[in-house]
Amino acid sequence: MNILLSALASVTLENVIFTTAIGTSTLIECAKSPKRLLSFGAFITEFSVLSSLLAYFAEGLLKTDSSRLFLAGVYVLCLGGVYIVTLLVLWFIARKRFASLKKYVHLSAFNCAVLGCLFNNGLSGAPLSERLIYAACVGVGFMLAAYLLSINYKKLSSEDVPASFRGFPASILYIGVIAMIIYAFKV
Amino acid sequence: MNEKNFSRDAEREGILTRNPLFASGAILAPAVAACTDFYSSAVIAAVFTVVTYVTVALCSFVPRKIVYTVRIILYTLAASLVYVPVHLFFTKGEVLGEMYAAVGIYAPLLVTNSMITLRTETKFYRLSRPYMLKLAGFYVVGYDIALLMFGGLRGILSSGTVLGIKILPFSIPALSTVYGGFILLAVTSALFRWILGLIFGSPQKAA
Repeated sequence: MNILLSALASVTLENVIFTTAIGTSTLIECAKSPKRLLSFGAFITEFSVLSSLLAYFAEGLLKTDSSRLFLAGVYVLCLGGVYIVTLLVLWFIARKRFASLKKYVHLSAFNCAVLGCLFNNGLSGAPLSERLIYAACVGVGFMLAAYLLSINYKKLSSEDVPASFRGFPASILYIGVIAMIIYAFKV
Repeated sequence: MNEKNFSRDAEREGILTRNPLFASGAILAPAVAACTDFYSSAVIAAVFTVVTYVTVALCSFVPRKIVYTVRIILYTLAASLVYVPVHLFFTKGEVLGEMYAAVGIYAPLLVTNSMITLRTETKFYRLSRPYMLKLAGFYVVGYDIALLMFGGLRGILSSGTVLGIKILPFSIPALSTVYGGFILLAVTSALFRWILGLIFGSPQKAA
């Protein structure tokens, strides 16, 4: 029960987008195509979880301070490995949809949300199980944030919004208001 | 049209009409969460400039024959290697070290910024190398200027002071939070687009 409550808090009150802004640009891109929201979120979750798993073992190899300078590079390699495997698996199981899905795989692979998850996990020094739960929460939290933005994305980009605010400024204003509400809940 | 005549266009595009932060909304996280004053903005801008420009320049030599997926991995890997000396430089000095520590993970996260992972393939590497280097330079400078303006303004409004001297009769501490960053960035971005609209026509055309 406690784990469930922690996971719920991690997805909502500690949502990676609303509390750290990490992955906001990708989120706005994702909200533009609500039909792909689920696949996009699933890819982000997959990348966060699998690369956290790989990074956990890779970090064990970096024992000296000088080798830890290359931590970002090691994380990139972990992400790269998951990226290649994901594309290969997609090619074999969903060849017809491969062309349309690969764009989302690319956007999910190298973005701040996933890399930020790896860095946060590394800084926390938490055991593997906690890291994987956190990584899954990052992915689900991202999906929730993308859903919240996609509900109103069309309105935020419509002619009713003043031209200067239309699109991107209105979107981040909207995200800012949600972030403020979450902040108020936490205080 | 000859690319040599495009210098002014490159300048206008990178700094104004396609400004990565204010017009395109790219690389938002460091601006919203880490750039709470001028100094933190300067640190992020410096890391961003070196990591992005050197990576874009170096990776322009990566052969196009290599599969797209592998190319992107190579770009980000190169960025993470370029980041190592930058990290060493900032952690050396005491004052710089403190400012650098304050931006936390937002500095290393710049290795996956969209200028490296997306714009290289969709724009930069489709151009001739000399023009590409010029355009990339203007994009980087455009982001830096926007970041410094945004961080400076945020610092002044949130504390009401400049270099410790009180210049405003009020302060809005909430602007140094993440939600404050989102809201202020939305307002400054809209203001930027409105000014562009006055200069170049409608904001939609300008952006």
